[in-house]
This record gives sequence, structure tokens and C-alpha cells, in this order.
Amino acid sequence: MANPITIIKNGIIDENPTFIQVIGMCPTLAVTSSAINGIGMGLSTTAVLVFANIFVSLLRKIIPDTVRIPCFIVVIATFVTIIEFLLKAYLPALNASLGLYIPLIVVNCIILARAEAFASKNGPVASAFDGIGMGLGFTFALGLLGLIREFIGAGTAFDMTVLPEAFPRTLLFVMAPGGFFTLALVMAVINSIRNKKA
Amino acid sequence: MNLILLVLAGIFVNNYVLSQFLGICPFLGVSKKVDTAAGMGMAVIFVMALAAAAAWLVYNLILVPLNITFLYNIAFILLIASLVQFVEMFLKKSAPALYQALGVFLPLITTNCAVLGVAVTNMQKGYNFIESVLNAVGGAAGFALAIVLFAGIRERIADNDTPKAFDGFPMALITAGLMSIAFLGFSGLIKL
Amino acid sequence: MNSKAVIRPAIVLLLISAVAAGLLGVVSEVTKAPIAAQAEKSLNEGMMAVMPEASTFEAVDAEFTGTITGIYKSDTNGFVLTTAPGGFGGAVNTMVGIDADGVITGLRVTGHSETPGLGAKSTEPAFYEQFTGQSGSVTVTKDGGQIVPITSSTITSRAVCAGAQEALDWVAANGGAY
Repeated sequence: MANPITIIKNGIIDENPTFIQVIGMCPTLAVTSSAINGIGMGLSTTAVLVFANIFVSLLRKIIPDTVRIPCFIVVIATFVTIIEFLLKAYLPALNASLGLYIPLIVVNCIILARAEAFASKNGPVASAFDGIGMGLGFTFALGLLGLIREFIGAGTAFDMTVLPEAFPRTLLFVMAPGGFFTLALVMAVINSIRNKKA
Repeated sequence: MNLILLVLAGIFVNNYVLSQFLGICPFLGVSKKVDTAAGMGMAVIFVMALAAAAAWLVYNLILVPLNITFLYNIAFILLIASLVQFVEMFLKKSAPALYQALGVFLPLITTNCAVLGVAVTNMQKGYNFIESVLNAVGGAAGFALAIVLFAGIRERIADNDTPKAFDGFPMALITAGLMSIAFLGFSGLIKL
Repeated sequence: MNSKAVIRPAIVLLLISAVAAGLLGVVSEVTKAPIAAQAEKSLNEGMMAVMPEASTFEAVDAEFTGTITGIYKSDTNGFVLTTAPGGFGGAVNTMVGIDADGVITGLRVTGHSETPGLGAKSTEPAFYEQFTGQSGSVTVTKDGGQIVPITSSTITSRAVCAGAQEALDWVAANGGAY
């Protein structure tokens, strides 16, 4: 088994789901109008990812190849629904601001991709670490995008005002187009750093 | 009258891709050529209308009477996956020409979150059967319009030099952002 | 076709689905009470905010007209109404407290999909506190009324006024009957 730290680092940096693999784009763009929303979504997805990975890995020898995708989907949908109930019961404010995108974690390609590419071929412990790594990579990306967008768009960081009132806000950045622009700029910065290294 | 507004709102005002960020994966992935984008758009309209109808029936005739609405997410996603499979097999046998045109796009639709999104939205808003289907048709037509326009712009950009760091995804995202600003002009036009 | 190749996968899928459904049933039962409690708590907190002098509220069994979504009567003989008038990006959910004399005791915007930074400012005290103490008719200054609209968000401001007006009208017409 590979070193847990290597697996986690792989998820956060080398194969970052958002910036490098470019998957799971819908929630990435939709909920990152603030850092707290981004991190809330990231952590909810991480929880689903870790549990789905563990269970897919445990069941990997029982599930016949022909129906593996429907089986994975059932496992994923179960955990998504559990997270949805828990958020409604204990964190209603976060549930309200993430809204529709919580049930849609089911179709976040990151989770199905990890079930198929990693958990169905590795043991439960390694799969759990893979889930943590990928989930944290996703959370980090969403938090970063949310922070940039709310800073430029509303002059706040984690919902606290940091820019002086007189400083103009670029509202566009907390609206839909800002999501596209921010992700484009962050990816361009990463590209230019990688280009220099290569 | 309201039903027409529902469709128009789905296409322009609440555009799934450009204002609600649903279906971004195929929007970015299958938009390099106008032909394929149009094919994907047609396939999505077809499947989304069917899926919304089927999801409405399953929710209101099975889940609600049995008091198991908490299974809605599992039910919808399995329904969409099997529906896509079924449509694929059906088209292959009975409409080979249509299958030729849409076939390759069908499997990709299962992971299009706009399809699940429309089913969940219909449920949350308590739409009736006709409203659900029209909401899906409008939303899917909005997706098709956005992806075809986007592919047209990308075809032009492909022939031009872009800054190296912006090659590929960043450039596509900037384009989508500019389109999204254009669609902001429609917001507030239709009140539902 | 080989029947064994079909039956085993089907049984496995069925078993996994059955276990998943059972598990969800348990989670749904366990979280039902806390979810209901949260909904009631946020409703109560909202009602206390728009009518601070009241201490208990009771749902009124009346027909909802227009965009009214809920009617509650307080122990001080006032009413709290929730309305959902159409704004710029969809319905703007408002909660209005009206005392026995037909005067607004408070108003809050409880949910909306208005533009961030513009219409979304309707949730800030600078806007909603203007409604406290109003009665009869509420409109924005542009329409000859008393409410100063949010800058660049006249549609949202008008929607909130329309919601408050609906509540005032309902209490004026039906308040005595309950």
C-alpha cells in the first residue's frame, strides 16, 4: 500500500480535482460566491467521497462488473442523502445557502471517478485516504475561489469586511460571470507556473 | 401564457449553464465543434423532457403514496441512468438515423447534472406534470442554445493566438464568462 | 443468454439498494425531529423579530389569498404574515408583523434570489427598518410613498412593499374575524 501522506498530497496538489483534472465543475462555479460556502460544499463532498470510497472498496469483490456503475451510484446517493438530512437537522443555514447543489453531489464526477479509478481497485484504508486527499484538494480549490470572489466582489473575507467602505466593489465577481473569470484566472496562473517549471 | 413564460425563462433568464451552473461538464467538454455541440444539445432536450416526465410520475405516484420521499435522490439518479440506457437501445432499433446523430452523446448525459437538477427543482417547486415537462424543455433548450453559441465562438478562437498560460480551459472559461454577462441582460425580464 | 450471468448481478444490485433504502429510512426517522425543530425554531425566531412584544403565535386557519404563504396570530392580537411577492430573480419571501391597530411592528426578508450586492441588500436593517411603524399603504418614494428604495434595485424594493401591502390589506379586511 502506498504511503497515506503521498496519497493525500497527490489529491491536494499533483492531481487536484479542480485545477488539474478539471472535473466537478458545476459546484465549483455555483457555490463559490463566498469562502464559507465553498468550504462547506468542499467538506460535504469530502464526507461523501470518503464514505463512498470505503464502501465501494469493501464491496469491490462482491459487486459484479456488469452492474458496478449502478451499484456505485446507489452507494453514493445513499451517503449524499444522509449528508443532506444531517445538514438540514444540524446546519440549516449552510443547507439553505448550498440549496439544490447538495442533492447534486450525486452527479459530481469526482466521486464516481474515484470509485471507478481508485476505490474499486484498492483496499478500504487506502481508499479512505484517497477520499480525504481528493476531498481536501476540492475543498481547498473551492475555498480559494470563494475567497477571491467575495474579496473582489463584496470586499469581505469569511463574511468579515476587510476592504474599507470607500473602496469600490466589483459586484460582477459574486455574480455568475465572476465564477467563470475567477476560475480562468487561477488556472492561467497555475499554467504559467507549470510552464516555467517544465 | 404562464407556460410559455416558463419555457422562455428557462432558455434566457435562468439559463442552466450561464446563470445556474448546471451541466458545465458537457458544456466545456463537448463544445469544440458546432456540429457535435448541436448533437449534444438535441440529445439533452430529448432526454431531459423524458426524465422530467418520468421523475414526476415516480415521485408523485410511487414515492409520495408510499411515504418514502427520502429515497428521491437514489430513485431519480437510477431512473435517469436506466432511461438513458433504454433510450439508447430503443433508438438503435427503431430510429437508426436518429441514433447515428445522438448515439455517442447519450451515455454522457447520465453525468449531466442539469438532468438531475431539473428533476429535483421540479420536485422542490411542486410543479405539476405539464409544468415539469415544460420546465425541462425550456431548461434543455437553454442548454442547447448556450452550447451551440459557445462552440461557435470556440471554433473562431481555436484559429487565433492566445497567451500561452490561457491555452485551453482558461480561455474557454473567459469566453463562457463573457457569454454569461451577455445573458445577464435577460435577467428580470420575466417574473414567475 | 446465460441466466446465471443475469441473475447474480441483479440480486447484488437489489441487495445493495435494499440495504441503502433501509439505512436511509433509519437516518430519515432519526433526523425527522431535529429537522422539524429547526424549521419551527427559525419560524419562531423570525416571528419574534418582526413582533418583539408578542410571546406566542398560533397558525390561523384561513384561506391564503394572493402570494400569502402563512398567517399566524399572536397573543397580543397582532398578526404575522408570510408572503412571497415576485422580485427581480424570483419570489422574495417576506415576513411582516402587524399589531392590533394595523401598524407594522417589523418586517424581514427571509429568502430571495435577488442580485448579490443589489437586491440582496433588502435583508439589511437600513432597508427593512423603514417599514416599522408604517400603516395603511406602503410604496416606494418613486411611486409617491414613504419607503426609500435600495439603490439600483427598485424592482426588489417594490416587491417587498407589495408583500407588506398584501399583509396589511389582509389584516384590514379579515383581521377582525379571527
